[in-house]
Amino acid sequence: MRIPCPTCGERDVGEFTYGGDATVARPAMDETDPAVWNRFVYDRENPRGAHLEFWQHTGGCRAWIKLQRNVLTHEVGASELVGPWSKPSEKDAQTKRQEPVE
Amino acid sequence: MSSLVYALAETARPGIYGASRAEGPGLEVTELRPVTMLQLDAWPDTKETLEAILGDQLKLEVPVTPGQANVSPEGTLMVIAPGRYLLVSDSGDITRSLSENIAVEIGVLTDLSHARAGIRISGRNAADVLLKGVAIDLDIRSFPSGSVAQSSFHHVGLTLHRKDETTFDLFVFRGFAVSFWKALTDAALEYGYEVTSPA
Amino acid sequence: MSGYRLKSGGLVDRSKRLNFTFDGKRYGGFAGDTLASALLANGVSLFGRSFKYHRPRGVYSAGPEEPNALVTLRNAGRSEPNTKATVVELYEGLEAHSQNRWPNLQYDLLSINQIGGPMLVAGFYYKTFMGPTRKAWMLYEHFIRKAAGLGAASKEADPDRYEKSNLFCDVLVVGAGPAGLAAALAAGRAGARVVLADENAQAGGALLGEKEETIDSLPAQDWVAQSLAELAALPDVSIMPRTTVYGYYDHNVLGAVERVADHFATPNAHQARQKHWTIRCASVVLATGAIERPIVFDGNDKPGVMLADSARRFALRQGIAVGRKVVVFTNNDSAYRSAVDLKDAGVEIAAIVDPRGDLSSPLKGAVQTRGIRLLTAHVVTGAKGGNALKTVEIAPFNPESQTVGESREWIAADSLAVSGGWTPTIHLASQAGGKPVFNAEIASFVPGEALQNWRAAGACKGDLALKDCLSAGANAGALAAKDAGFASGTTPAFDVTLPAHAGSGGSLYPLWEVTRPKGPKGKKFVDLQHDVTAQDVRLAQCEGFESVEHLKRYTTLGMAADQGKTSNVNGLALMAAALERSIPEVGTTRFRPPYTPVALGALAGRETGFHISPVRRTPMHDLHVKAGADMLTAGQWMRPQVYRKSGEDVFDAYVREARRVREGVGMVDVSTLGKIDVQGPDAQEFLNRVYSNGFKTLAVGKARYGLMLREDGCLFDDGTTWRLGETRYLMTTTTANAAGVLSHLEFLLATVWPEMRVQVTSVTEQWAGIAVAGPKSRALLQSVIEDLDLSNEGVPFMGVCPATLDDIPVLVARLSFSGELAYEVYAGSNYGAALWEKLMLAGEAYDLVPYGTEALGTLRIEKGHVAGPELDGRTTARDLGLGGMTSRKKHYIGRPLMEREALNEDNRQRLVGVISSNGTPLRAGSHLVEGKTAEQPGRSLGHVSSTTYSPAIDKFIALALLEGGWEENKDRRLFAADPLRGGHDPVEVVSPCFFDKDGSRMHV
Repeated sequence: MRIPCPTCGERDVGEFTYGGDATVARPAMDETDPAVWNRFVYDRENPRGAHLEFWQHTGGCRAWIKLQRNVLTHEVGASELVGPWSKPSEKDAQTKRQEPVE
Repeated sequence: MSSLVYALAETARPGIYGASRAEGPGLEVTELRPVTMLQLDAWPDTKETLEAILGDQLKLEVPVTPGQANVSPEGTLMVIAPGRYLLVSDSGDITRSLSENIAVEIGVLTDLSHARAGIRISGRNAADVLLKGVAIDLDIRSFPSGSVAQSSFHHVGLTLHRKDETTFDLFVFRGFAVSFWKALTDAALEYGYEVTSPA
Repeated sequence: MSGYRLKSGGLVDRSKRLNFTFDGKRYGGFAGDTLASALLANGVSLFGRSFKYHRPRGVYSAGPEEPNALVTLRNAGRSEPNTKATVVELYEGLEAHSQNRWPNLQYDLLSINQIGGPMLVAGFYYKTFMGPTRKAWMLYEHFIRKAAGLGAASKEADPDRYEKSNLFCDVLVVGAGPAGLAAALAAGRAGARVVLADENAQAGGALLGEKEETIDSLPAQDWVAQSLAELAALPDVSIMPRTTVYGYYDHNVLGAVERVADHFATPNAHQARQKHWTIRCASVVLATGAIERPIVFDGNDKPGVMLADSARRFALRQGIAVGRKVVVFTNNDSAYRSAVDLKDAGVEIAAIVDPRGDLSSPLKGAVQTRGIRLLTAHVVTGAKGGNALKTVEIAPFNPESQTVGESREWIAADSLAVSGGWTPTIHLASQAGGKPVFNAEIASFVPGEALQNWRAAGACKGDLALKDCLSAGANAGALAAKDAGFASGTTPAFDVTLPAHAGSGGSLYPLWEVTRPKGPKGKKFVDLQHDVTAQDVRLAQCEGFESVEHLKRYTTLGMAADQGKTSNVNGLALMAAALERSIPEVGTTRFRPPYTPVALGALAGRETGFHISPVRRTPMHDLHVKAGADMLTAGQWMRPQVYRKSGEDVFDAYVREARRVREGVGMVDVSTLGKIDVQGPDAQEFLNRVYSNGFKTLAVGKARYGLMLREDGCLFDDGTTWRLGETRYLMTTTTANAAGVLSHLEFLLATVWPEMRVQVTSVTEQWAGIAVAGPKSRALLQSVIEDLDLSNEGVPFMGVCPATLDDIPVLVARLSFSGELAYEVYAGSNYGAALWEKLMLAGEAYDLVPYGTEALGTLRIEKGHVAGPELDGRTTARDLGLGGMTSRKKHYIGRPLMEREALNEDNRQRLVGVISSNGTPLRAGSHLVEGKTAEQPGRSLGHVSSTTYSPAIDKFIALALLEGGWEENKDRRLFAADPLRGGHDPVEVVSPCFFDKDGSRMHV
């Protein structure tokens, strides 16, 4: 399995570490409702098909990326940097809840 | 300076090893002992400012995209991630002059001079040896001279700088240096290799 | 069968004689022989015994599909079981042994299994050993395993090298037959980087040894040679012979094994025997050819029965006649070439038996001119013979009604060449993910839709005619190059001439199994390697195992080392017939890697022995080794466990070391601690959010112990963080969690607070660290540090100051893990060894002792300091008595869920101290129970996490996690129960701090 890193190009999956579902947004720091936190920490959709996932290029540039991956067909789509170095347009999109791409 | 002991001091012993080839050893392996290794990080809105300071101080053109390096008499500057640079230099004063010029609002410096071990491999089989561990296409057209990559070799994280078609500078975490050296030279046995004194 | 070497012919070099042994007997062969051909040349017909029934077996094919002629190659550590004699290149001194026979191949006592045959039908083990008879399995397993099987693996280490490497290209062409060569030429001419891999020593595939075809007016051999020369001249084309592409994985990653030195007795110095290649490419052309199919009839496994084209290949390639009197049994045109070519080579063809009613006239003509007896509308109903074929039984056949007539004829023959048609080699295509599609014309499956970038060409796509193979190959090669970004010119047309008896590809009469209308019902094998019969397939259907996946698992059809190369389609056809459905309705199982078996050595490569995995060495590593320390791995790090003196065991050594620390001074290498450089204008705020305790008030030059929580509220890691400047911190983590903590911080900065200006970088390897601990530590350090006052005023508790030790710049931090007056001294790693040596030298005056991880553990357990065994991912700060370190004034990672009810119940397991009441050492992992006896321990109330002997209180002590904590339990009499290893000892529950409860010693 190969994963495209926005910085390093396409690399083997062994260089990356899975970082969880990228469609869940962390509640605000001052959120105190345990039910909200419970959903954030434990509830996952796990759809049969397209996923949007966090991966870190731990065996390379250490960037955290968002990756489109289809768990049914094994197809891997585009990836993007997350964090301060993501493209400005992408940064805006990040604040919204991301839906998995079909 | 007698107190400095480099990571491969006991391991990188000069000599010729491995298969004997009519055309001579397939590669030369040398421990690198740069005086300074420094990581520099810009903030997203200070990237140009930091680049200008680096270009000025190091007297080189700072490469624009990650995966490239430029070399000047002051040292080698590699771009290893967006806004993140790795400087390898034989100057002992460069850290001070850079830190005096780079306030925390512009970026931060992290001294890694002791954190990495350096190895240079060169010769006709240098790329063949690397390919035994590095899953990166090292064809000169895909990975031209001046290219930089971070990957791993035998499960050891590696920063790889191609200086020319047959010369690569490798930097690994210091603690892994001996394991890495042994795996690398083991991979070189079939081509024959010569270890030369530290640069 | 009594094979022999023909007077002329073949590609072998008759001037190069090679000697070899089989079962200890000496034989001779020629360069260019396979082990199989050389044995046939010597008249050997018996190669091995079958898997279950120990039936005598000969050679069945001339290629990688071989189900029968499996041998063990070489001996001792180099022995390699289940090697196909048909693909082993002969070399001088080759040593081979037959398998699965006792006492020897000719007289195998276990062949009585044949008589007990009905007992060993499909599902035998399930039926016999499930339920009440399950216990019998325990009794018989050893004997059954010994009786059923193939070769045995060696228990000795393989002395040879195996290597792994990576390969990148634009176009990978698998198979160097006509289609593959045409594809490689087209892609190579377009300028693509091409790799052409073929499992054989020589390229050419089906063209190897052919004499009559011409391609573009060149004899086929010359066309192959010319193509190879052109490919070799192209700078970006690599030809890889002896390289089997065995696996097709996601995203065009393929696995291949190159047999670099398998054709030598031993590899040259430093040469790998085999090299594993991981190939990554833009596009793949699968030109993997096709494998001939058997027909199923009584006795179809007798030595002497073999695939028709394989018989021909032995003649054309190695100049071998597989027998003196050959019967050909075929349902299609291709086997007529075998009959004609063998006849032309001087071999007697007793008859051609063909179920079809009529033939094309050129074929008929070719047979008649040669005077070969042709029996159309006939089938072979049985083959007879013991260790060699003697007679072939034939009967008339009506192809319209598909019925076998009752009259019989027996033809004497020592060889029966069978062809049931051709099965495309779709293994890689199927692995790549496309569902195979049934092609009725060839009655077999062909590759389905490509879900990755690959295309099939030639026989593996069902195009059996040479002209089609060539043009399809060229076309596929050009398209593959185009996909990789290389435009190509027009693809060439090929001018091909064939001999008259080549026949046409599309005249197959599907015939899977021949059944006698009456008479004996002998064993008819579908899967020769696993001894699965047609009767087994029907039994599976009768018992409800109808789906192909169930059929496979219930009968083990296709699950042998040959992965059903010759049996798969026949098995599906028989199941389809039993179900009265069509073959595509029954479907096929998905192929899995590997295509042919791969040596574990090739998969491991050099990651064995010394290179099994990399280790991390601290800068002081060599000094520890020189001092005679017992080095232990902690994660990847090598750490000194104890520095034993002569006569000491580990216990003596750590007790001495720990005692010396409390009484005088000791030092320990702590370079392995994770260290993270945290810098930036927002560093303070960042730390305040990731730690549960406050970091806003930490002053420059001071360190603070911090607790890091996971989002779920459990403890993640602990360590001290040092403020080195206004915006610069050095965070330390536990050795084990260093990488995880760094990733966690990077994740937060990337996804949660991208606006924060903080950089985090691992500096674990930048610093060598030494903890100097004990009442005399201050005096020792002050004797070598002149520019820093180490008193309480100069370096207060938790103070961090730069200093110089001799010529070495250091950071001195007043931290204590041992509970004693202690300092941690940090220097750049390249100074680490000198720093250690200087302290050892200065320490002589103070009776300094170096101590290892064992004493480090003792000292921290005595103090009740938690470490990895307590931070086990399930505990909270409150559980470990650190609840006071969780702030109520700020928001931080993990707080909301840490505060949920379930994590704050009073009966949660909490940190306690435990003392052995009877002087027995405690063992980590023991359960704390109330029951007085090992027989009735009662419910587990908790477990022992860290144990040691405490020199300070002269008792065996432990830290443990216990329901309700120590004050609830201090008057209870509990037991440490260790049922698995044995042990049930009374313990006393106390406070987790065993020594110096008010902490006065570290503040002096």
